[in-house]
Amino acid sequence: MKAVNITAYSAVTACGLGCKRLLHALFEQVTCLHKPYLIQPDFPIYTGEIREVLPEVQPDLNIYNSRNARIALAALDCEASAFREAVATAVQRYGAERVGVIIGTSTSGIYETERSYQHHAQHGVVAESFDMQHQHAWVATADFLKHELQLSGICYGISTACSSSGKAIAAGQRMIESGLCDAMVVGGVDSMCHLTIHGFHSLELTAPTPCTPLDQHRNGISLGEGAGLLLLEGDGAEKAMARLVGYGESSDAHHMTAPHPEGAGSKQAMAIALHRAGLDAHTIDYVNLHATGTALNDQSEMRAMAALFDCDTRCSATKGLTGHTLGAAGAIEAIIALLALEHQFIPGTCGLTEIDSEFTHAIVSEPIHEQCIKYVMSNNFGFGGNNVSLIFSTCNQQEGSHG
Amino acid sequence: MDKSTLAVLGYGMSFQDSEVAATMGFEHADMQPSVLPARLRRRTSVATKMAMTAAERACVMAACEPSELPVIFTSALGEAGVTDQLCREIAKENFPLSPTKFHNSVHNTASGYWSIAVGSKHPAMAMGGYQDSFALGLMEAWSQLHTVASRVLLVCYEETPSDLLCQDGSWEGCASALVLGRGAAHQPQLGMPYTVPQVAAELLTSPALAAVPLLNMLQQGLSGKVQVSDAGVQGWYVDVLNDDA
Repeated sequence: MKAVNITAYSAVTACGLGCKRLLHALFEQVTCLHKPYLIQPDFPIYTGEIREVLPEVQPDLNIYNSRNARIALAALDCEASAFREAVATAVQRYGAERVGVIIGTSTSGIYETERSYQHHAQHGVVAESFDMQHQHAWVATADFLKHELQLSGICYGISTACSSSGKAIAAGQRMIESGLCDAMVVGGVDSMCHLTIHGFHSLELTAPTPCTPLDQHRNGISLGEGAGLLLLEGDGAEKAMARLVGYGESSDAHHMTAPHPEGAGSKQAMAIALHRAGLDAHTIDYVNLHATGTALNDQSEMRAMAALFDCDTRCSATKGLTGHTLGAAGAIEAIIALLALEHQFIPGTCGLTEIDSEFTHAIVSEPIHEQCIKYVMSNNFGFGGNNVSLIFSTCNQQEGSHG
Repeated sequence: MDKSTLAVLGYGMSFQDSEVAATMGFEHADMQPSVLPARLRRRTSVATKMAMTAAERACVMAACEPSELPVIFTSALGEAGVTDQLCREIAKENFPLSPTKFHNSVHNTASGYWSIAVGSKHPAMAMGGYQDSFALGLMEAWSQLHTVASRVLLVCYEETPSDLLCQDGSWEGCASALVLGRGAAHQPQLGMPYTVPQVAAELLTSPALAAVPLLNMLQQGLSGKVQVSDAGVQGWYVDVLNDDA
């Protein structure tokens, strides 16, 4: 596979607006999960909500105004608009028609759709502010970013549940390798809504306490919200922060909500990613697991890990800090893996007190600082048995070029 | 084959209403998702059933084993009906929600059930580009076929959304599917999709109907330029090259 350069990234999570806040939370390992504020159901849950004031959508793009769009906007504007400026530089270099945007989301702007339906239930008409095309449709957030960033390349949305934005990053690589674009804004944005809170509760998958992935006593997920955006560039990049060197995608062909018990699909996605990167499993220095905190997900993924990696390959789960950001998880966790490369550390597993006795892998509970991290992997698996695994490297590594 | 074109190995259509199908030149385009086991057929939406039917027809025409194809499912709204039902329950605070409806509301419901029904371990994409959903699905297929895949199944579908979701006219439920490949001779070829600026118009019909003119050309063995999107500030086109024409 042709590696692509990562020239900028930005993340907005419950840990705060910007990568510095996320990095601080990873170092300090203090959970950002709290009792819910925005939506308060009548059952106990903890959520990773963004508590900061989100920026307002500018008046001429008001048709796009949704919580999802404002979270995406925060990722452009935080940290002195560094990401926005990097994209503007890419537009200058390649031309707006050669820069595209692909955004993964599981919610799109459905929070606004829910409010419109509530308005209809009370007043007999849909909310005047509701705009299905620009808030609710699967492409809405990607389309909003296209207009915000004044891009005119390829623009679409991906929604494959929790693998959405991992797949958006892979799709961005394909757009560059196939020559359809020179640079791609890729990532994911997801926002709190009644549908996911009550939906996951109906499946008995929400934890009444902050989630504890990989723990012997884990009891479900904590939902989060956020945005992760990455700028991918081909050979024309001036200065890269890291590179995407491999990706793998697969389907379980097993069940709509339950993962394959032995993690067959996850293993396949990871193996394809390694093959495309031309790497052996032992060269991976760190794996950011999908590890949602449900009994079956973590077991399935760790069985796949055991089948593919030696026991000393270090891995951890970060959803105890951020919550499960669903369609944004792939991008936010890719960025956590990139922060591990950039700052040379292995993130810990927030909330972990007793590792599940079945898991024999080197699960990292507290962050470890060291100086030899070259290759990192990030996994995401979603409903429908939809799997993606990504491999990133520092800029000075030479991989093979299989597949 | 010219490396810069895609070969059409098979295609299929499915309509929610077979009378609409007939007016568009498609016979035998009703909804018959025989690939779905009966117990799943009862709990899946019109969107999923139409998508499966079209996909199955395209695979049969291409003489392809469905489990051997990566899939791209593209749709502006996806599971619009299930989402509408859930939003009505939420508005009434009628909790708990149905767990089945919840997992059947995700956009990759159709692609997920397809992979389970045919036993495919290949990647499944579920995407949307509103009025350009079909054209952008072709671009995604293009990028896959020029990097990692030798054949893909592209399915574009849309069911009729409720008027609480969509007030812009009624969208006819419709699904189309194409099995696309590289390196196959003696097949109709598609050039790379491209855009032409146009006067922006409101989208009044289902975005999935944007595939109809292309499939009509394939049916008739014609060559030429055909639009594969509707409305929007730019129109997407593709050139069809048919040796027989």
